[in-house]
Amino acid sequence: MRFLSCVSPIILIALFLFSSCNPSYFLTKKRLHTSEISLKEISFCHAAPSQQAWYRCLVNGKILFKNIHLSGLLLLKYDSNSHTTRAVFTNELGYTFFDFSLWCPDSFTVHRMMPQFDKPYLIHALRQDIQLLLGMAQPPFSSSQISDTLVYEAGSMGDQAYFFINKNSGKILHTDVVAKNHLKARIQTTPAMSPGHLPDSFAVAHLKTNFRIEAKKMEHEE
Amino acid sequence: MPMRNLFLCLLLCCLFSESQAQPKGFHPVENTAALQASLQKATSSLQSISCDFSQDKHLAMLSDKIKSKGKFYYKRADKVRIEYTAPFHYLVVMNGGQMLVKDEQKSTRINTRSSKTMQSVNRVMLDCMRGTVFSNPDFVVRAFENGKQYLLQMTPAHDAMRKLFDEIDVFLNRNNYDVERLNLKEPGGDFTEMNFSSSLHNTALNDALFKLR
Repeated sequence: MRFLSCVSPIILIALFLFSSCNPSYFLTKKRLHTSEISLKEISFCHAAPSQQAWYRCLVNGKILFKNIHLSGLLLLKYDSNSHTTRAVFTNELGYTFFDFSLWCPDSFTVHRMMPQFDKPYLIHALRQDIQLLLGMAQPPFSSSQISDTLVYEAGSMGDQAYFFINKNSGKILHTDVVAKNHLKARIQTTPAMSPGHLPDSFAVAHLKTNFRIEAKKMEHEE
Repeated sequence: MPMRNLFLCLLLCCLFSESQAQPKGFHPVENTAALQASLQKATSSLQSISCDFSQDKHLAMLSDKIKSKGKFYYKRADKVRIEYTAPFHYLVVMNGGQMLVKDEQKSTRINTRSSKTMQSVNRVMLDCMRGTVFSNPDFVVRAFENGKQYLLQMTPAHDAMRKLFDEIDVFLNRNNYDVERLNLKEPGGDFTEMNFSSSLHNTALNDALFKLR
């Protein structure tokens, strides 16, 4: 109990500092007419060609002060006929961590989840990351403009998603996930991604949970 | 007529169950104990192995597979090094109860005793090299043969292992008992095939290869 009485204030201070480091998400923006943009312009759901890519994937994070590091291979495969995307993550030895199917705009099936990873919050986070990477979000959309960047706002599994798109090139610069007015995660593709295409590389930073996923397209023989 | 249909159904069922029980191109080994003894005798003089490997990961319901390759080293009694060289660099070293995993970013040391999954992977690898597959308590092992190979079919013996593997097939060269192929089948239909080639036996392998650093 003595230990708890000493630790509790420290935890409270730490929690306060942590929450104060994550300011409210606020955009200075000029409203546009919704007609100026549409879901079709950003969503992978309307991509024409079927396409696929293998990614070298690294995951870093912290759970309860313990550092977590994970690496593996991620397959993203989109079938334009069925508007289905398959996402499979395996380790280098070949063991499957997870295997999902995502249907446009919002359906989802888990084919396999490694027993240690089979947690609802983890499935939820992974689903949201992949959906937003591919521009899958729930209408209604609204749009805004910050200098030459268009900002598309949509729903994503109970959160808000903001797609930042260069007005001239039409390429997605990054996507923010906002929960309760705080930035929850940011998805960044490098180089900026043309909507409807798989990125060359991407990073997902989960700011609240301090997790970072980095993925780079691999060349491999079929 | 109904009797004839019933007979046909039974015949088909028997053929189906036979094909399920017996891998294609193989028949059951009659004297498993003799095979076990020969395997142990052959591997008892084995001090080290170094070989190349290629790995194909097959995905269920998709035609896609990912290919990788590298070098494999084993040193008696409990040292294994799996070094992936393409299309990515990745290293796994097993030494005693410890495991080192190294990717482009980080080296991670794992105590396999604290992880059932890692422990079982470690054990399966070592069993294949040491010829002790039959004594692994996590699997029920059935032996098959053809003119060129023995096939040791490892089926999980309990639920914890069943969640990880559907079956592990170990293909041994009939003449020298070298592991030629390893097929790790997962629940759900994905499987990983490792093919080993250019094996060298009992060459001097530096302990530095198996350092956990």
